[in-house]
Amino acid sequence: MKIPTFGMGWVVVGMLMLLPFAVSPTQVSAQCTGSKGNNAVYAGCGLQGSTAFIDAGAFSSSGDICARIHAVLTSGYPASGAVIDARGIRPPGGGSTQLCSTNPWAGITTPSTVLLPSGTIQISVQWALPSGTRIVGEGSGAPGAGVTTVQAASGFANAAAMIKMGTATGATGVSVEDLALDGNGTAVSGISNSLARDLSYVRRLSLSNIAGTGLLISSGAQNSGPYSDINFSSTAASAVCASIQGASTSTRGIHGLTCTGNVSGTALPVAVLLDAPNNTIEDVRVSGFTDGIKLGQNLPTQGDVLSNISGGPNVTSIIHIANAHLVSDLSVVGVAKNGATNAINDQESLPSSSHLIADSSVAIYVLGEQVTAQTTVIGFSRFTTSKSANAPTWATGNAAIASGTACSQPGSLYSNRNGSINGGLGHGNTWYVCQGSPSTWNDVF
Amino acid sequence: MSRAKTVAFGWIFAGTLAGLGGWLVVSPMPARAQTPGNNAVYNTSGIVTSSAAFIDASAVTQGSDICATLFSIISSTNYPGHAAVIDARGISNTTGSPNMLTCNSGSPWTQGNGQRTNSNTTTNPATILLPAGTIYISTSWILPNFAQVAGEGKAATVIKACSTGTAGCSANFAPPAWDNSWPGGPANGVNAMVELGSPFGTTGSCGQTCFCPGGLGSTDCNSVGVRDFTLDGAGQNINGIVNQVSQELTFVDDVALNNIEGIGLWIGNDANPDAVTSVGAIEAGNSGPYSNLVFNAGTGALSTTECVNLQAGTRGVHGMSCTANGTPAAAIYLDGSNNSIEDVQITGFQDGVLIGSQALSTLATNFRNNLLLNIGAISGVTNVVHICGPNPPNGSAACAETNNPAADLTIVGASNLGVISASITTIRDDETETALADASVAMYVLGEQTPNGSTTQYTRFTTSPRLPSWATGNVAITANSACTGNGSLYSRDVASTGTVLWACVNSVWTPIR
Repeated sequence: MKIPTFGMGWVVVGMLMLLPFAVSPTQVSAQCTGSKGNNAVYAGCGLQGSTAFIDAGAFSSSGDICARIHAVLTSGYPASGAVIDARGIRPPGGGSTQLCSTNPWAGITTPSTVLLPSGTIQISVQWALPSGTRIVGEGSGAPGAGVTTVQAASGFANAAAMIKMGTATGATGVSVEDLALDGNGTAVSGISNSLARDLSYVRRLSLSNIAGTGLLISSGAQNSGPYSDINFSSTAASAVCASIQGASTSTRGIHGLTCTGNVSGTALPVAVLLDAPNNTIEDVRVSGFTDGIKLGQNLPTQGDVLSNISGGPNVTSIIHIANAHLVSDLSVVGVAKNGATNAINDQESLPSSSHLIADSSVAIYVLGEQVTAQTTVIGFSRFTTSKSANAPTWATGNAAIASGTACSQPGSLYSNRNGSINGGLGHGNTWYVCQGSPSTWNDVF
Repeated sequence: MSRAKTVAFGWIFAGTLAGLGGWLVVSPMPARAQTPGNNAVYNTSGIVTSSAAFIDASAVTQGSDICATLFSIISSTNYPGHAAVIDARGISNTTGSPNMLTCNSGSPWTQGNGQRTNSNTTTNPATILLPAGTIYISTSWILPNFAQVAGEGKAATVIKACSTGTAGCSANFAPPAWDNSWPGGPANGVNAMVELGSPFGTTGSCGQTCFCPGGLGSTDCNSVGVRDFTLDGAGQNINGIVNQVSQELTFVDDVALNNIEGIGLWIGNDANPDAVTSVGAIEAGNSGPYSNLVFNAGTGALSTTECVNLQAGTRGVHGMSCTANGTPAAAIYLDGSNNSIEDVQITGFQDGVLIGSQALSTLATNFRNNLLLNIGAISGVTNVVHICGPNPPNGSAACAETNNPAADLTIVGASNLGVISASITTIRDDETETALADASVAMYVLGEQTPNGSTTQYTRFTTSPRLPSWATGNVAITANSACTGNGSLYSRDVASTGTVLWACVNSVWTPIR
């Protein structure tokens, strides 16, 4: 009797030990279903899989992070796209750096939103993002200290750019936000866009250790942007912070950009190259570059707007209007030196001997178009509030100017709000012109 | 025997305890009551429990369509009083194409298309995350105060107007009649696929069915926003997004407006008091920004198709492309004050930005201080910027409305992108009888009408050399040299003796001093 009784007890024990698996809510009802990568949510039947997003860490455990994202994109992936949450994929050996040896979007044409994890993802090849692809990190941090950092491996295979926006002409809806790109000192650019157009943008991005161009926007990327809140830092001699190139590369602009080059040593050549029409660049800070924004170096350009541009240490000219190609209809609103040598270097419309505007700040410098006398170009339509001796301006006041009073800007005008006509041309005290050598104020009316 | 029974019962008891303990350890069952739609998370005891951080709409009892499901959640008596995030990204079509959803029942906040009642309408705020795929809608989605809707990107999430014959749609899209009759709305009726708040209420009081607090047009909505999807009008003469009443922190971001033959984005100033209820003016002032937008009217665009109609003072339209087939009269109608419109590219509209063309009586004396920055036309545009007024240039026909004088208008960077043609005007100013065919114009600032002058005398500055401007250079002008832009000045910026200032008089540079 003892043995059977004892045995029944063990049977019961065993059955009870299995109880949790028998009644687990994941199997409590045939109605509850789920697939790998589904989020677990509560439903009437218990825990159920939700396709609100696909957890890439749970979807596949094979390969590196890029292989695992690619696995999601190529295995039963919805044709209309999905959110892929890769934030749970951690370095297999611990630490904060994980490797990526392939382009996750190779051969992909369906849209996706991919959430990247914090830490460093070291890529060996370019990420080429097809139309409708959005990648979002956990934060850009600061250059060299990103929350989510995509870093070029030392043997990075494609020298063009770490991330390429678009894989075919006319791509749309390609975006990169909230992450850092680290060029790791290689001859690589950060982001290039020559294909993606409407609703393609970059937001909250830091760029560091890049020896190429941080943000390279070229022909084919018209209507793309805005490219906003970008922080670039590099001391590589060949580094360029941003570049917009192309006769028809009109974008929604760069809004919010900090470019830091070599602040204490030899300044890098150019922070921003602008050789494209109809672009807005605003809220920019530059230090450690000889030129802040240089226009007309490679192509003619017109219709651009620069707003709130300031310099810093080791900057020679915040804005450099080159004369290699025609620059016209350029509006500059708000330039501050903040330690730079010159606010504006205008080689297009100012003579070579006096092409520098060195005011601490300039409210407006608008360069219009070439003006002719007969067929000879005599100058440019232009208006500036600068008090520089090299650029005539128009001043107003409420007092007459005494005869022979010196002035510094030949060609400048002065209007006296309280003036009167005292005998016609050359005899009034209402309107004056700065004239002669040495220059003095002479009345006109 | 007695001892044997004791041992046996002892083992049974021990086994029971062990089993119960094991069940508690590994069971994912919640430590407290679970609510369908809750997320599953581990608590501090390592037990899976439910979290109300968001509501997964795919896990609740499904309604007849996605809108019915969402309405059921939002209108539930258990719905959090201060709104919630509703994650609907997991909802898919289980009977047909998984990427095609229909919304015949109404909207997430209203069910049916008849007069609203407390049972078929909720105005609880929510942040709704929409799934990828196409959602066919049969009526307007009117978002109440504080509500937001986000898609997975314009390439992934498409909200499309129902058309007769479309699978799952019983008829063409039709807005609710009670909303479409609001007198201050667009000329073709509100007709909105998505409406940011609504001024409409039942006569006297709308109670729980007020989309904005206070109801009946007395108070505005706030923080209503939509982003990251495409609205597809399916070629119908309906409007995309209409905002009549939502103000601070209201936004539209990263939205494509396709195949809409009405108005893509209408931002209103309810200048016309409601004749029925004597409700005063309410508007969408201080709303915005409206950023990163695409409007493509498709091949069936009408003369009345519009990209944007802006009548209020807002935080601006920043980044937009407007494309049509050349038939529509204008892309952007600007009839409000204190707006910035920047980084806009236009194709296939007769006018790019048309200013002051609408007969809005209460706006006539308040229409000023707008900034246009980086406005470009690519092709198929006659006037990139057109300022209406009583003095059209070159015998051109005046706008239908000429009594809304634009003042203190600043244009920085207007361009036809290099296409110089006599038929393309970069800036047409009917206030000052001006037509500029420059490929681009850096600055055109129209100030105010000069006191006691004729109707064409304005303070104005432009860098266009075809108008009175001011040029500088280091060249002394040869006598009797021809010039353009009568009235222009030229300063020689060289410290030397001789003439320093010339004027363009009768098309000849004439020395002044």
